[in-house]
Amino acid sequence: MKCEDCGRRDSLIHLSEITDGEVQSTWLCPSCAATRQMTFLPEDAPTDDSRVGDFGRADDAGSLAAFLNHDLALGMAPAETEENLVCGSCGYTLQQYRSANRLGCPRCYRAFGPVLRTHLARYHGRCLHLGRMPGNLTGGPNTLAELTRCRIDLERAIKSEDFENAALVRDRIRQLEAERDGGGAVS
Amino acid sequence: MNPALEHLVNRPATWLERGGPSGRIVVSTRARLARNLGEFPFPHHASGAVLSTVWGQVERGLMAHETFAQAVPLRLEDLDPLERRYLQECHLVSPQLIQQAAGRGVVVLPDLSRGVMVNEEDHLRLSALTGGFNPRAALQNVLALDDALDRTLTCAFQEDLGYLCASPANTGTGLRLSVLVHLPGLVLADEIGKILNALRQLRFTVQGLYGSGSTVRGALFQISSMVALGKDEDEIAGDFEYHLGKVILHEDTARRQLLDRDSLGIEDNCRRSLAVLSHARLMTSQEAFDRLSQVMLGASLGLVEEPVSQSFYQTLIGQQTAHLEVGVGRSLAGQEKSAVRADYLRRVFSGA
Repeated sequence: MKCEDCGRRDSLIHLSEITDGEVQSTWLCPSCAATRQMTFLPEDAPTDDSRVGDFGRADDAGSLAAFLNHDLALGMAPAETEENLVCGSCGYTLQQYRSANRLGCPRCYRAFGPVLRTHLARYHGRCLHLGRMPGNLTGGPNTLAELTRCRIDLERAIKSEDFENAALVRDRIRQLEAERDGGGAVS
Repeated sequence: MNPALEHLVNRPATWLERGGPSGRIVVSTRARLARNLGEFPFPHHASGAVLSTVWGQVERGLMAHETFAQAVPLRLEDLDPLERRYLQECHLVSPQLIQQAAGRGVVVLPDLSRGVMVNEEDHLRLSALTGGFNPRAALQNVLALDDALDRTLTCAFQEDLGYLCASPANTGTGLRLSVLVHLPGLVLADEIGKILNALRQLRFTVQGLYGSGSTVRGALFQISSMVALGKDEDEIAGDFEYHLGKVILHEDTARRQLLDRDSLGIEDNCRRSLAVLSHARLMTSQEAFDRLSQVMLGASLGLVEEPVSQSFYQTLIGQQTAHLEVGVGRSLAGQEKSAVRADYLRRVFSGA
């Protein structure tokens, strides 16, 4: 549904105001929400890496988390060309994504990788999938399952401030990634 | 009526039966998984031909699996507007899906509690409804659908980001848990604002009866989880269970306090509403929701009995316009709608 303020962009934020027990609900896009000075900006807030947001945890654990983020941002495009990014598969542009808050096709996730990762981390609090995966991947001979398990272990170790173990797990992740990428170096 | 849909009409939806966990407060719990086919653009960016191809692949894929052996595939373009609204009132399709019917559809399992929307925001939206507050059961039921899907179709997946969805808000597990919850105690005690604020801070959304953009009626709220990435399915369900469990506890406390403070007032409101539902000749949908809400509150406090013929929740669903129209076999206009609704409610409540 469209934003009730501008009527143009898709709404993403639901504002509920309670007056005398009456719930007044308004749907806003992130820009209009910003002009109403709402502090809650999950998606389209300015790209500011210093804070992930109130619900963000990616920068809580210092260098190990930075390692994770850096790892996930491999292949990042220079910032000045970001706005002109186009998905080679479906022709969707980054600008279209910014105004609709939707992607054009699954391959857009590769095309707009760095921008999306920032948004995903801001919205979900963490940009790393820990849930189930397709059966053909879990049962396969690749290292993906172990890699995911290691990433979960790393998160847990960081949370519990067990940095010794975290360093060990981090090394294992690097090793697994190097194997997966056919011996390619991971900085 | 469309013969495939006729097959489903007048079946009792299992999720509307009485006696679910915390069933006096929580109408239903839903678990939804978003999935997409890797080689096609997302529905909003796809041509009619692509949508048709996706529907064909999904229908063939799902129907080939034993889980879907009894399922009914319904293409929305084969249904008339009344039939589409009927499906929406059953919570089997979203308002968004029926607005643009071409190339869209739903595969419904015969218990009317599980189904797969095709070409809504994502290529597939698997969902499972349970009665009462039961996030674990809802999750298990929807994961069973996902297992079947996994054996027949290949979904867009990236190892670090999980299942890729049209909106990044769903990417990851694609999971969203939600409850339809009746909170008259918190509304009357003027505590609802505080609770909604706390929920928002905990990353839950609060909406009206039919999700995105719908209005709140009869103190019925839909509360949904927002975080889909960075946690596994069990953790998401665990968080949901914990925080919504607290909301239920607050509502329960608020109802008891209301009863302590003003039992006569609560009973008076409840019985007045019961009298209106049992005798009125004209009834708008809005009034029906509000009256039912009052009676449901009274019944939960033991002040009146729930009708024996059907549960309150079946009545909430059954008094909606498309259900009434399907019942009488034609579309209704203006006052006639209110008259048929009042008749329906009188039948349900005259013996109560």
